[in-house]
Amino acid sequence: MNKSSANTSKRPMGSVGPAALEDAQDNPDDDVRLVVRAQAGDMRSFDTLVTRHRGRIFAMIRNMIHQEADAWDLAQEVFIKAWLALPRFEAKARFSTWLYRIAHNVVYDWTRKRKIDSVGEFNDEVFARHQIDPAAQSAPSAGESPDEAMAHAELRVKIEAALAKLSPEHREAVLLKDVQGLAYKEIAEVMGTSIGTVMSRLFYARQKLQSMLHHEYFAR
Amino acid sequence: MNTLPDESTLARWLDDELQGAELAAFDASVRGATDLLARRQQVRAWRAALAAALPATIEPPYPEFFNSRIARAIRAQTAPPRRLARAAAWRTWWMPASAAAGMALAFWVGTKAGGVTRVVTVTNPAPVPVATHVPTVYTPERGVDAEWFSSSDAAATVIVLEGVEAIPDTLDFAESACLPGIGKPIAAVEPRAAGEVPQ
Repeated sequence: MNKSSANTSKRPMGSVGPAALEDAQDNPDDDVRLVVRAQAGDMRSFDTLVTRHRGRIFAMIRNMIHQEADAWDLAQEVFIKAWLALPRFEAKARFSTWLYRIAHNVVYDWTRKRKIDSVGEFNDEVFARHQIDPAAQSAPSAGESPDEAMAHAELRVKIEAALAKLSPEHREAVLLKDVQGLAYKEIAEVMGTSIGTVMSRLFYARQKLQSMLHHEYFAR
Repeated sequence: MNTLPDESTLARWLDDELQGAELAAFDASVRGATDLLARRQQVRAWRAALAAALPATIEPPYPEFFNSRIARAIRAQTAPPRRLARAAAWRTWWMPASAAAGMALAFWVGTKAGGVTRVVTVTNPAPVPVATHVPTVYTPERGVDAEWFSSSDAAATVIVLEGVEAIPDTLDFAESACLPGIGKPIAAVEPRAAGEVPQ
C-alpha cells in the first residue's frame, strides 16, 4: 500500500467526540470498516480510530507507568506505530487487542530505555506510584458526589499504590483482565505468552493485591 | 467418574468467560458446589471494586492536540522520499552559504554600530492572528529541540521543548532575570505608558 497517497483530510483532528463514539466503541465491526479504509490510506478513518481507542490506550499506559506526561507521549507513539504497521494488520485479532499489543511493546521498550538511562540507580521507581498527581486532569471525577468522589479517590490511590508493588507482568495481567475486561486468550496475545501463564499471573497478582488491600477489600 | 473440573475451564468459569453450551454444562457440573459459587462471587466483587476505582477509559489531556500530533508525525514519516532528497540537496549548498552571509552581515553591523546602544520600543503591536503567524524557533542550547504547533480552532499556540534540563525548585526568577544595564529585577521595573521611551 502506498501511504504517500494518503487522503489527508481537512477535517479538524479529533472532531469525532468520544461521547458520541462511546456506544460504538466496543463494536468491532465498525473498527473493521475503519481499518479497511485506513489501510487504503484514509487518514480521516484512522483519526476516528484514534479517537475511539485513545481513552483505553492512554488509561492502560498510565496505569502501567504511573506518569501522566509520559503516558500521553507513549499513547501517541502507539498510534503512530499502529499506522505504520497497519498494512500488516490482518484482522485475525480485534483491532483493540492489536493496539494493546503495540502498547505492551511500547511500554516495555520505554521501561528498558529508562533502566539503561539510569544504570545503577534504577530500583523500579519507573513504576513508583507516588509520582502520580491525584489532582491530575485525567483523574476520574464526573458524576459523583463529593463524598463518593473522595472515597473513590482514596481507594484508587490505595489500589494504584498496591499495583505499583507488583511486577510489571502481574500488573499488566490484572489491568488487562480486571480493568480493561479482555479475555484470557486476548491477554495471552497482548503479552505474547500462553493462556496458562496468563491464568497463573492473574491468580498470583490477585492474591497479592488482595492481601495488600486486605482492609479495604474486606471492609466492603 | 471424575467430577473435578479442569483448572483452565474453572478459571474461565470463575471469570465469566464461558458461554453457551460450555457454560450450561459447567453450571450443571458444579450445581450445589457452594465453595465454587462463593469463589466466583468473590472474583466478581473484586473485578467490580477494581473497575470502580480504575476506569478503563481515561480521555487523554488535550485530546485534539493529541490527535493532531499523531497526524503530524504520520505525515512527517510518510513524506515522499524524493521530496526529502531534494530538500537535503538544497541544504548542502544553501545552509553554508546563508551561514556565511549571516556572519558577514553580523560583522558589518558590529563595525557600524560601535558603542551606540539603540533602544527600540514597540508600542501597541498589531495583534497577530493565531495559526497565520509562523514563528522562527531558535534553541541556543545543543541537544534542545523545539517543535511548534498551532490550532486556529483551539486558538492556541504551543511550543514543545525537548531536552531542556529540569529547572530546580530553588531558582528564583525574580532574582535571576534582570534588564541589562539596569540591574533591577524585572518584577521591580515600574510599568510604562504605551509610547513612553525609557530615559
